[in-house]
Amino acid sequence: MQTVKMVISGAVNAGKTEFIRSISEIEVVSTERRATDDTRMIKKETTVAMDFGRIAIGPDLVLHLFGTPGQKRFDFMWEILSEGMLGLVILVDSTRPETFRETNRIIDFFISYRDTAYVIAANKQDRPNAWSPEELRLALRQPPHIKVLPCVASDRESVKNVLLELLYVIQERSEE
Amino acid sequence: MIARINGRDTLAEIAQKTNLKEFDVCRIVYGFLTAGLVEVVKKPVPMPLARGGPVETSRVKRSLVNRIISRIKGM
Repeated sequence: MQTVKMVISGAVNAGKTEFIRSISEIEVVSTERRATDDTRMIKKETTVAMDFGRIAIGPDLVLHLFGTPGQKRFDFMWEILSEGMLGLVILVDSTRPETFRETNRIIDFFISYRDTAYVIAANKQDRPNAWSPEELRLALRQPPHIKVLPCVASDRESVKNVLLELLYVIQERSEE
Repeated sequence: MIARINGRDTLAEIAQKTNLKEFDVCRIVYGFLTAGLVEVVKKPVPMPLARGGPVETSRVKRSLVNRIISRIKGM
């Protein structure tokens, strides 16, 4: 059985767990625990190790989705989870500009030591105060060739679109 | 366990040498981190690899990517 891995990362409360839940064929293996630091101002529970989802591609091939913890103190998990990944989705909470700096730090972490195929998903586009993908591109200082995509992590079709756009990036770079 | 933390071995290598699961090693090391006994040392950052170079994504066969695309489209 061949497995391929994609990693979903982003700052706290960007929507990583929800993103994986929307598309995974199995109930997501989650490590959510009661938030004990500043995170509890935003939500009651937060991911402390990883989220894990799975999509069967065929009898011999499985796609694994790993969500990273968002909090900086768990950043040692990022390297472990990203080992051997095919591609990366960076989720951004488009309604919270105070998280954009942290998002940049996360992008830098992942692309500084690997030539990783990645896209940025501008989550929570259904909220009235959401920054548009193009505004986010400027805020995150992303070059034009990096895809910044609209996303609503609770909507399966939207999640499918983000994964497909990432796969098209990977496809362009793959071998015949 | 703490004797195995030497600033050179990765968490995966420590797990291998101690016969512990990587997750358990992470949990223990996190305890050390919060107690201030150890600190995280990042690996030296290598030069960025050129596009099309020998990297994980570019080693992937296009047929495999096409299969995943077809499956996701069909969901």
